[in-house]
Amino acid sequence: MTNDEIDAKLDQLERQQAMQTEAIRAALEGRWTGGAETVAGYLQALDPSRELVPRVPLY
Amino acid sequence: MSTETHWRRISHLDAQQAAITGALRAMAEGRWHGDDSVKAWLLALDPASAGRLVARVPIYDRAQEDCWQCWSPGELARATGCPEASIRANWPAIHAELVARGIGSREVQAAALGTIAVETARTFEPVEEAFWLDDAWRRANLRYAPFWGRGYVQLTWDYNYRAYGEALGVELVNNAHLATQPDIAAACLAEFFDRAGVAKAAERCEWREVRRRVQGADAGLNHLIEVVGRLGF
Repeated sequence: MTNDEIDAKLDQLERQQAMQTEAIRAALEGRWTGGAETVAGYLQALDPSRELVPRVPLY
Repeated sequence: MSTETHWRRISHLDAQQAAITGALRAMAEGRWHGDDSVKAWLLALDPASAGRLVARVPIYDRAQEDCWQCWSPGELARATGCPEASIRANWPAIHAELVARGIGSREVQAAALGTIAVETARTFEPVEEAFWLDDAWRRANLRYAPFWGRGYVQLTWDYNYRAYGEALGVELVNNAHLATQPDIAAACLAEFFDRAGVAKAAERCEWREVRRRVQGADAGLNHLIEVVGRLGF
């Protein structure tokens, strides 16, 4: 793997981890569905190929 | 880019991945605040979010059932004089917060129920102080405005908003209205019962001491004693 390829891969991993962190923050704050800045929204962005059937917890 | 820089980035990614895994495990196991919780791992991932997180703890089915083990919603409505619909809506979260702090005994539950009945003027809702009046009246008449009483135990004064906001990871000083959000109000009550010694007084069935620690004096004591009496104490 070339240096440029390693950089590109690391960039991608960092973006994915940032999005995973945002998904966890959304869960802690009770934002589960209904927009891009929700758990469902972030998961959809992380893996658009997987269809999600979200189940929102009670508060 | 040098190999050393690559290794630094990979090492950072490894550490972040461990924190993400920790947060997901805590989420799966229902630990939302405290040690080894979703909130603790999130703060490790993003220390800059300290004080800006507005945590909401979900209610689990088991907790919902548990909260009616001592008394049914109808029994609580009769004992407290509060609307049954409000008790059904609000008691599960309050009960869950007490249990989460290890202060969910029958005695402490009775003290919490009686205190809420007194402090919310029998509404069993996380109300604002003098809720039948408007903000203009409160600003003109309450020396601690805008940090007037809010929630189930009427959180009051700027220093209490700061202290309980920090304890719960919620920015309450600049968002005082959040103290009337049911889940935050429930967490405030439980945190207050724990750290202010209210739960300890309740465990000893010292109702006057419970009232003094909440209100500072004896106002509302007779009402509290009536409620805990109907609950079997």
